[in-house]
Amino acid sequence: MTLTREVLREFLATKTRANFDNVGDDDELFSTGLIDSFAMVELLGFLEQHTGSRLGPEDIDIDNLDSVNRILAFGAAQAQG
Amino acid sequence: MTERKGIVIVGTPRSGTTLLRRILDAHPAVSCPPETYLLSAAARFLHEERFAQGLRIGVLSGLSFAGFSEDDVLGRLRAMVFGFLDEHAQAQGKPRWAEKTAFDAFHLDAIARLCRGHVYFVCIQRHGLDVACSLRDLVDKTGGYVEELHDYLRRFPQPLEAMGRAWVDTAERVATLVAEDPMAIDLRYEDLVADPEAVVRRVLEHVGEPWEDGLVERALDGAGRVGFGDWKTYGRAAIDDSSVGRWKSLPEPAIGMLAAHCNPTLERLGYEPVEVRGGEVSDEDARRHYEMALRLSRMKAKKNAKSGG
Repeated sequence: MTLTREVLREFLATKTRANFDNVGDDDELFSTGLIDSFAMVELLGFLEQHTGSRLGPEDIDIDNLDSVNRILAFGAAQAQG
Repeated sequence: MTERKGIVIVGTPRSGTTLLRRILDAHPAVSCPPETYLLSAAARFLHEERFAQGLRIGVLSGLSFAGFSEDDVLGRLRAMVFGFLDEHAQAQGKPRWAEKTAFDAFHLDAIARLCRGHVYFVCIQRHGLDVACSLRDLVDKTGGYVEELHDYLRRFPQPLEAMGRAWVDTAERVATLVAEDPMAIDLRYEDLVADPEAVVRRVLEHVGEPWEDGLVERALDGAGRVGFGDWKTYGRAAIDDSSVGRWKSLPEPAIGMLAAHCNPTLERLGYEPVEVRGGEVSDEDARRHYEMALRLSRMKAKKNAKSGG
């Protein structure tokens, strides 16, 4: 399973109701409050679904999940196992 | 000259009824005051209960024992309610009235009994999950629940579920009114915000009034009368569709719960049923995700404290 940029951006735009046209792929999402904790819970489930992985507390680092590009890189690493 | 003067707007609260009210009120021939609660008050007057042996207990059956027919009682009540609205329209220098009070949808059976054959009904429906989200916001803003929602909240303690169930009941009642009354027109909120002129033209044709250029713009220019109603429309200078599909931002378990209750009614009204993605989340997964999100929140607080310092 592959997580694409388009699918991820659409998911984030839907869950945050933000205009993602104005959000760059390197913009901080969680640190800036664009994604709140509830949306983050959704994102973790979404990542597991799209990478076929099961995340654990040891995988969680804000630096891995704070921008579109970092989430994509994290998702790709998880998918490779 | 239009024979039937009254226009009654009905829809589940948060379905665009206030927007319609403002547009109709901007028409030179129609006066639609802010919410009067006249029709729901009349509906309460008509409230009755059926007891053993089928006996109806209420004002209509009570007065029938005193020699007043149902038609007579309904006629007197109608004259009182319509009298206020007629007088108000005259004071505004307009020949016709329209009436809209959001929570009338919960009293629709009695209101239809009182008004059917004497008014045009303008019925508006909106996607149930968007209504549930919007009703929940309304409660957050007002800090309380109106009486019409009490029973739902007693039975369904999760506010979103209670609001979804309330939507099902009221939307079904509105749909039934449309099916049974040839003087009722059926609209959708999503169409109204996508193409206001097309929808308002349909409404005006239905009630026998001509289209007026600039009507929608005039309705939103801020000169409208202030009173009870949806405050959100007063904060907008233009109609947009930004509130359409907001339910998609809900967590998947909440979407699944609402879909289970709302899908049959959504389909009856011509909406696509809501697809539930991802299936049920196990208790263990829900807890694991929650713990990870908490861990992230702590990391965020530390990061922000560091950058702030």
